Amino acid sequence: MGISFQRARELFDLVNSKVCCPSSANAPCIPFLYPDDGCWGRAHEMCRLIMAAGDLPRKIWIQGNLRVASSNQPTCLVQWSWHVAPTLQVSTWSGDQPYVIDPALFQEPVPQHVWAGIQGDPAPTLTPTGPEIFHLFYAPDTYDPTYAKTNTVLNTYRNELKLRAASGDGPPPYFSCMSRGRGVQWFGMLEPNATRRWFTWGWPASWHVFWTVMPVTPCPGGPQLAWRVAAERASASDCTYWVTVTNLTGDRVKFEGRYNVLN
Amino acid sequence: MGDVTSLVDTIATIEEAAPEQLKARVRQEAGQQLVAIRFAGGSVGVLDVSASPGSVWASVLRNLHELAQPVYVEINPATDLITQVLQPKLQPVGAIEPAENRADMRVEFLRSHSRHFLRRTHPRYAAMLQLLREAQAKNLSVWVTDSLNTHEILDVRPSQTSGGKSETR
Amino acid sequence: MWTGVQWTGTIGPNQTQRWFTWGWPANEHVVWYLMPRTPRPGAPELDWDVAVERANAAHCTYWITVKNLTGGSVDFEGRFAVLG
Repeated sequence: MGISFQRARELFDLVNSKVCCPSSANAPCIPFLYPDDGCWGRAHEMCRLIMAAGDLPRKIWIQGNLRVASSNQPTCLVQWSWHVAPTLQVSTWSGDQPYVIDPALFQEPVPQHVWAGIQGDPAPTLTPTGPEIFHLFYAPDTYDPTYAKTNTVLNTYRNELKLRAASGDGPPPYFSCMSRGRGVQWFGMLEPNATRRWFTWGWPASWHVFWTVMPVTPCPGGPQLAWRVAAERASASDCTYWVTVTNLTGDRVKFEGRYNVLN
Repeated sequence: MGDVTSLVDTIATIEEAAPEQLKARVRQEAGQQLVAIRFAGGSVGVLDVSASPGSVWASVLRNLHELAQPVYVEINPATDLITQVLQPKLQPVGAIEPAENRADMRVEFLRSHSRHFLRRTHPRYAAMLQLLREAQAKNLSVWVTDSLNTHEILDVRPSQTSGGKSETR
Repeated sequence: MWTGVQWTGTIGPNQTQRWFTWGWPANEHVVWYLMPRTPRPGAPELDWDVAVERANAAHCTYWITVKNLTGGSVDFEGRFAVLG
């Protein structure tokens, strides 16, 4: 008997809450923001968490010429030979269906065919297994009952996430892979504990405009950004807004500068 | 841009306060906090941990030092400043076959699901390809260092040795 | 656009205190403001600052630091407007 989608959503949120802050990436966080590699470590740890919560996951392994667009990779693309993620049997109107828990690719549980379809190979090989299979394609690592190998893999890819976050590209996500949504005036990045001011000019002074900022670099645990707004009347018709943003953390933070025109 | 020495080695010690003779080689700026990394093979590098990237690199180097795993660093020989840190990974070698562009080689590592490439333009292309093929034939693992974003193979070392300095480039 | 009251609180005389509210969709543009419920005419009662945390790819948490500018306790509403 499958679980409800609501329960699947709760379990997704449970594992997703372990997302690593890119620059600090301390154990036991899960480096979802490094999609390039390490999926089998992430999947085994997610299964451990799900089982500790009282539910029984399985795993789905996919092989093929896999190419996935990702804004968490500076090239905007990840290329894999295989990939793995936990699954849960979810009760739907058409019977129990496998849903995949993969915060590296999605923001919620998705049907298995959706997860497979996004990976770019029209004819991949899909292999379901139980949660006990740590690595399906390398026999010495088939099992990891003590999670020692899992912790080694997670440690390796936490380090990779840190190294990438410290590079010139900064932490994920990468602006070259993103488009500015409606109401987003600019993308910015702040160094740890830094304060910086941006300005945006040419706004009609008759408009009532409200400015906010939103971090795009996930880092749960505390406030990341604060901001203040000042205004300058540049001419009879136009104004300039000055937005001062402060990074409240010891990590680099990327963010959106947002506006809303209220009248 | 000056010459850079690349190095794959384990860390012998991390000195949280770099000695004066090393500090003297670095152009001192206010607020710098210099740490000395001494490698098992005798080389030394200096990191400014007062800010990123040095502070983040230091946390990775400390972690790999605790695990007694090798690190890949690039060092400016004029100042001993570490200018790049990467993490070699111990990998059994799978398939080695031509990449889609037919010029380079695509290498499968059995503990990785990412695609790795050995570029024909790498100065040590032939030597690394031979090392990979030997490891594949003998079922041996190698320490492989790849580039951060494109997973191009930068360095390959046999797993029974953990030291060695690469050429200046 | 819609508005609402997320919480009611009380802050002691001359105190500064922080509240947080989590699970907000990060793609929504949300603004936060306060309204004292305790009448005290003649001077401002409350000031506030807003900070934000990206909890994961889909959600964020808002942290509202409230400062009581008076020598007496102030009851207040923590209000929001979802602008889009």
